[in-house]
Amino acid sequence: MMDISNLLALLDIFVVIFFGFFFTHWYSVRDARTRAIKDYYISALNDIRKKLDDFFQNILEGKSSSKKIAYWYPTIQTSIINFDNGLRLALPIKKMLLDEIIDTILSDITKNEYINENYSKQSLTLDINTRDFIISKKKIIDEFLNEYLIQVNNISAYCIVHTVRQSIELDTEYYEYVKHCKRPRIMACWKSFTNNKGNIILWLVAIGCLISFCILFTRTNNGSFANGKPKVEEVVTKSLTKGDNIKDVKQLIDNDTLSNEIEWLKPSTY
Amino acid sequence: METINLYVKDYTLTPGPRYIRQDVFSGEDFYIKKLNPCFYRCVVEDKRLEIYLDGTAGYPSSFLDEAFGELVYDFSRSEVEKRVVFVTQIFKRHKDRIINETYPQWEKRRNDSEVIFNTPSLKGTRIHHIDNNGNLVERQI
Repeated sequence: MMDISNLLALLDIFVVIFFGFFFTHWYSVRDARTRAIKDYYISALNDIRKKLDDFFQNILEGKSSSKKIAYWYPTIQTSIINFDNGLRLALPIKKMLLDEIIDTILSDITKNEYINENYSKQSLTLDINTRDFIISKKKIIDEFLNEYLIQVNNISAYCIVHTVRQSIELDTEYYEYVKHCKRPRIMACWKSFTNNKGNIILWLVAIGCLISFCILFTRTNNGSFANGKPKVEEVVTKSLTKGDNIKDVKQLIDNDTLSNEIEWLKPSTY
Repeated sequence: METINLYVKDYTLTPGPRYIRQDVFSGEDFYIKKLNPCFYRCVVEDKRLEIYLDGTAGYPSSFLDEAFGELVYDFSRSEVEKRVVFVTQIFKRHKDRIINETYPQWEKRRNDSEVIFNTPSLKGTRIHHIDNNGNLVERQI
C-alpha cells in the first residue's frame, strides 16, 4: 500500500508538470497573441491622437473655421466607433468610450458663444478666453488618451472561459452564414474542443490526479490525518461498532487512558 | 398615431449656428420656418412628428439646442416627448443630448417664465405655442 510520502511525491511531480506547462506554454502563447492585438490598437490610437492634435492645432493657429469644427467629427466618427468596438471585443477595457468623450468635447466647443458668433467667417481667430477654453478641452482629451493608452498596454486578456465562448460565437456565425451548416453551434463547439484539446486534456489530467490522490489518501489512512492515531470520535465509533459496552467506552475517556488504550484501536489491529 | 416626417436635410445639408443673425441655416431659423409649423400641425391633427437627422454634414450643438429647446419652451416637455421621435443612425449622441440635456434645461426656462433671446429682426413674427392654461395659441416674438 502506498504511504503518504509516496503520494505527496507523486502529487509533487504532477503539480510541477502542470504548472510548468501552464506558465511556459499557456501564458506565453496567450501573451504573444494579446501583444499583437495591443500593438495594433495602440498604433490605431496613435493615428486618432494625431488627427485630434491636427484638429486642435488648426483651431489654435487660426487655420480652422466654425463650420470646419462643426463638420469635422462626423467624417471620422465611424472609424472611432469601430475602433472602440473592436478594442472592446479583444480586450476587457474599462473606460469611457473614446467616441463619447470626443463627441462631448466637440459639443461643448460648438456650443461656445464666440465660435457661434463667428460662424460666417472663413477663418476663425480665437480671442484669449476661447483660446484658453479650447486648450482646456484639448487637455481633457490628451489626458484621456494617455490613460487609454496605458490601459490598453497594461490590460490582461479576457479569461479563458470568455475567450473560448467568444471564439465559439464567432465560429458559429462562420458555420451558419459561410458554410451553411445545419448545426453551426455544435460544429463551433467541436472546433473549439479540437483547438484546445491540449489544454482540456491537461486540465482533465490535473483534476484526475487530484481526485485519485484524495481517494488513495482516504483509503490508506482510513480518512484520518493523525498518522495512525484515530480521533476520539473515531475511537468511540469503532469501539461501539465492535460491540463494546457504552460504559466501558465512557470510562476509557474519563480515565484519561485513551492515549494508552488507543494503541489497540489502530487501523492495523482490526 | 399617424406620423408627419421632417427631414433636416431638406432644410439644409449644412446646419449652422444658434441665431439667425450669426449665419444662414441657424437653429432659430429652422425652428421658426420648419419645426414650429410642423409641430403645430401635429398637435392640431394629433399626429406624431418623426424627425430624420441623418443626411447632413453634421450638427453644431447650438443648432439643435436652439431648435429643440425653443420647441420645448413653446409647447412643454411632456407634449414634445409625446410627439417627437428622432430617427438617426449617425447622430445618436446628439439625439441623446437633446433628450437628456436640452429638454430639461428648456422646460425649466419655460416653468420659470424666463424671457428667451431671439434675433431682433424677427420681431413681430408669429409662432404657435401652448400657454400656461394649456391652450394652443399664437404668440409674437
